[in-house]
Amino acid sequence: MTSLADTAASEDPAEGLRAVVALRKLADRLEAIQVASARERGWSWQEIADVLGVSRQAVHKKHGAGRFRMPGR
Amino acid sequence: MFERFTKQARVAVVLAQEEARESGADRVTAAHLLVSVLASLDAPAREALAGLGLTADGVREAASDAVFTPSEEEALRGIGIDLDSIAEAVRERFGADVRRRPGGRRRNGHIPFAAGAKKSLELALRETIRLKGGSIRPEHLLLGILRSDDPEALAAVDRLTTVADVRTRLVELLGDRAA
Repeated sequence: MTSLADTAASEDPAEGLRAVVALRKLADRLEAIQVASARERGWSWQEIADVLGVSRQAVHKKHGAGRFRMPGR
Repeated sequence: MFERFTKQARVAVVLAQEEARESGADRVTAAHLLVSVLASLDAPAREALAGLGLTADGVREAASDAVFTPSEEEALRGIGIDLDSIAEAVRERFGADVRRRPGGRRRNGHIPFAAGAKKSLELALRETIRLKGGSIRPEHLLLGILRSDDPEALAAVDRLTTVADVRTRLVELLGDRAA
């Protein structure tokens, strides 16, 4: 296994950009899982939106309406 | 119904079940059938469709419910992010899988055909009759899948090429064979 620092400093743009795409996907999946968990614990959409730093409408549009369940189970 | 199938077409139907089993699905979907049919085509037809961008591997990837491609997982490791640890922590705390899109499938012993796959097989017979083919070939199975309106299979095709192009090419291929 190559050292992480070496690979992190890789000059190949394709590799670096792929990591960015993968990070966005990871953040999206974690957001969906965390929002579902917060809703199960009785958090309001407003409370979730405040922590995420977005509008209540935005968070409801993305995660609401029939998506109130733990994703990926 | 299967007595009209060519040997290749029968193999494709059997392989569709293997495809479903390996992906951990509880149904053989039209998308599984699509992958196995593409793999069962003879070389000229397979190459013609590959020329349009439609391959078994391509469909498998496009229809997969995996969030990350293998190269993306590798890229995450490259910047020091251990997806295995994250997946493990999330599974422990929330029972969810970060590597799969919501609505992940469950594994089962017996794997029946889903409605879209059954419909594809029926439509393949109709396509064979319409094109005056003697027996049902993998090409006819493909035409059946394309006619089935199965959202998952058609979305996978759309991601790689267009349904209309594939249909046109298949009819040409079958025409060449008959000529």
